[in-house]
Amino acid sequence: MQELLATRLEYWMTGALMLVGFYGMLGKHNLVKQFIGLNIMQTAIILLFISMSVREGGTVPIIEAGVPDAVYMSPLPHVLMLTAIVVMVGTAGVALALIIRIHSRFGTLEEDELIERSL
Amino acid sequence: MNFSVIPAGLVLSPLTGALLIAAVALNSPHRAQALAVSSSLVCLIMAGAALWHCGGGGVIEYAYGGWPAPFGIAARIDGIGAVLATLIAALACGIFVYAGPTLRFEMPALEPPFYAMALLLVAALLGMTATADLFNLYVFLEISSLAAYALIGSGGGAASLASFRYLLIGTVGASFYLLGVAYLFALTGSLNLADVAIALRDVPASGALLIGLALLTAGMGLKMAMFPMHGWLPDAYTYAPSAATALIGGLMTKVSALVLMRILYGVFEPAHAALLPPLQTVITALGCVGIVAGSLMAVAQRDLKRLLAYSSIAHLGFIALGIGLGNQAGLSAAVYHMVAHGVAKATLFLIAGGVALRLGSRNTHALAGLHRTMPWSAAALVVAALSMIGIPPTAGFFSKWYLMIGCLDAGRIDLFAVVVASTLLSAWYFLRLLETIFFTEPAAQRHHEELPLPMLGTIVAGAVALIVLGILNQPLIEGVIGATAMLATGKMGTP
Repeated sequence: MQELLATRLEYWMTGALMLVGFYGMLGKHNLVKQFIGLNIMQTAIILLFISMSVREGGTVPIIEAGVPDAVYMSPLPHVLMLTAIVVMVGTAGVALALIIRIHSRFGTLEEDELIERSL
Repeated sequence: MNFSVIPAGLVLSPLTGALLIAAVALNSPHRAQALAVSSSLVCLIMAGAALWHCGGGGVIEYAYGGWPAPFGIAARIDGIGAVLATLIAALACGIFVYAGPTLRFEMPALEPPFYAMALLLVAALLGMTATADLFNLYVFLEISSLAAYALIGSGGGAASLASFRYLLIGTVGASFYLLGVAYLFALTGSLNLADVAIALRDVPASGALLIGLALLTAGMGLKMAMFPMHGWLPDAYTYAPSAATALIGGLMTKVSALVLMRILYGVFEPAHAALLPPLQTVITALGCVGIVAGSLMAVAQRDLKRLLAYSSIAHLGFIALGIGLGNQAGLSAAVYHMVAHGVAKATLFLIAGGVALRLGSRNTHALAGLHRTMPWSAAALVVAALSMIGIPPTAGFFSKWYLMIGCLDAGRIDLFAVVVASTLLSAWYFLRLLETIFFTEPAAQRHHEELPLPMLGTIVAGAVALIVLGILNQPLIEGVIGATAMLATGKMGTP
């Protein structure tokens, strides 16, 4: 596994994507940008799961009569991530609803102004 | 009677209640409340049956769709799960009986949605206690969090902002957990807790395993507001509607602590006990810092709900300390403290809601003369405060007692000293609260105006429960010890 992490590019890519997401959440002062950062981070995790399912030379995991056995992709991570995407959409819905409420109450989405106005 | 449907029924009952409210009771608060109370009562009966069945070390398993584990999603409730499920169902039941008047006061026109959301939260929390699948657990975790964000956001004032911050941090926590699951899945190829525990025996200790463990711990640490990951908690608890605060503050963090306990001692310890000590050192240290810092912050608060929120951080520190100790007494104390603190803190938040309803203020100075205007609530507040400090015969004393035994068993005098010192700190702010109630002259003369019966009944029932839990601590703690022993010896790893 450690060698895998060292040799396989996709893990570094998801790691980089995750850091981009973290930067958005911690470095930006606008609530919408923080929310976008959150979304990028979640996407990175989904890509990590999907990349785990890949088998070299693998094919779609459908077993059919008459077709000789082949190497199949693992279908489980795909199914899991389908659920995770639904969860992500739910989170996005609640987050955007809260952002609308914050904006209608405080008239801004900039964090420093919000801190002033919510005191 | 067929017990095996209980793990699924615990989730389905409140879920059905929530859907029914959305379908037929959105315009009728009374019907919504009746549905909420009845479906949580059904849960309470099922959880009680599970507790009775699992008390002697039994386990109830249910395979969704008839697919046996590890291929299907398994639901599984054991002794600790049954204890927590009973706590969740009982508190939910009480809070639903209580909620009407405060909801009409704090969020009129939103009563039925409140009950629906709260039932979703309860369903997800019960699901977390009764699942044996890592990914299923993630889904329940997110459902409970989404319901909690909505409940918190429905409060007035800065509630939406507090809720959004909690959403950012909570989702990061859940993402950490999911990332940890990805590591475990990559290493073992399974998601079933028991199956993963078995498969881990063939996995050599490696950096990847350690990273996965650390990610799972960090994720659950964020969710249980372990110091220094507690930043979201005070605002969220303060601005949420009172009934929602009691539900969220009494239950959510405890269930995450239970999950952490299961992962550390049910999944990792049987196969990789050598990985745990460094992590345990960190958890006990963070627990201790949380106890002291939370107590000190609570001393400085003048807002009753904020004071209780900071005291929650301190008491979650106790639970973290018990989990970090990892010995028999420590783990049992952690579980017992989840129950004792859950009941006491929910009762206190409910009293705070009642005080806000009657006096229109959450400032601690408004409590002056409470024993004359609201004598029963004041009495309940005294009992709950004594339990929080840890004075016999309340439940809080015995959980701290077993925690101290755990510290001594581990040969850690320093941790023992922290627990004792924190008792003094919590005595400081709770006794000052009591002093304000009994010895400060109220600014304005008020009439006797006790809360309406359903609210008062719930509050008094909470206080009585604390005393009963304290007096019956012997059989209870023995049952809990039996349950944690099952966890610690890795019974989970045997199919």
